[in-house]
Amino acid sequence: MERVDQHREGTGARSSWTPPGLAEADLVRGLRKGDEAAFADLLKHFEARVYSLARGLTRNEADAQDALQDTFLSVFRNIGRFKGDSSLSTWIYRIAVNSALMTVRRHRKDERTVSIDDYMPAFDDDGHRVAAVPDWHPAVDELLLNKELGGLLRRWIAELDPPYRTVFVLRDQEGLGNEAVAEVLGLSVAAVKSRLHRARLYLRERAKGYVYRGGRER
Amino acid sequence: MRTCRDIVGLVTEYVEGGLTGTESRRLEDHLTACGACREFVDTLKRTRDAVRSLRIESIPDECRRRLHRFLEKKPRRSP
Repeated sequence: MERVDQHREGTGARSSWTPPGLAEADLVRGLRKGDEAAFADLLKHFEARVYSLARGLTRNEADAQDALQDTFLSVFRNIGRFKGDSSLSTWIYRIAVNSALMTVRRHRKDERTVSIDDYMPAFDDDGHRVAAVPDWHPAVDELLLNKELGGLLRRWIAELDPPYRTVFVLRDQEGLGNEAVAEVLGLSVAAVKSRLHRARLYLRERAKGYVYRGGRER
Repeated sequence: MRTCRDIVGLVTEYVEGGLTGTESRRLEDHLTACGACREFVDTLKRTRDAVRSLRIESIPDECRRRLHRFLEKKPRRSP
């Protein structure tokens, strides 16, 4: 059974990528035979994970539901093509990412993304920080603790371009390790780290900017 | 002494514990002297922790029912 690297600082990271107690090889055999119990087992182990990922990558509940359904339909119909080159979990996550991004593309008219460069920190010629306002404020902490923050965070994440959004959601929301994210998305670990870094800076800046504009979006 | 720009470039690796001991010490020397960067690192961690709360651990009942109803109507094999 494949295990993923854990966040070294570990709060909230998944202890393993594959659901605990899941014997993947047995499950795949059952799915290929059309065993109803295997289909039920697959749903039990993965439906919440896929839903959480889909909700992170799409803009609303309805799109997440569509992506969830498309993912499992695709898994059921294509299990015969699963070669075992990666773990079953990797394969399912990959299908889920593609399903979610396709759902978003189908509703392209609603999609607004931002330029991540507009949210990177500024420095003077000597490499020191340039900030028009104090960098942080207690009100930003209040925002981060606010129950309504989830909606704001989701909106800001949804406005990231897909290459950043996918890395960020798999890594920081779903808690996969860098190597696991790289495998799901077919990227190098260095690319995962770079995108994650920029996405984190972006989100921090959105949270800060929101408070300094008195709770208004720009 | 590292500059603030250097610090920002390394901050993700730092909070994940991915820097070497020497790199970490150099970065921490800067943090000791620079309140703005100290706050930057701290607030980046807090934003990251807030994102972790978005993970959904159990699927809503209605959503699960819709999924199961949808799959029951579909053939399990490609047409």
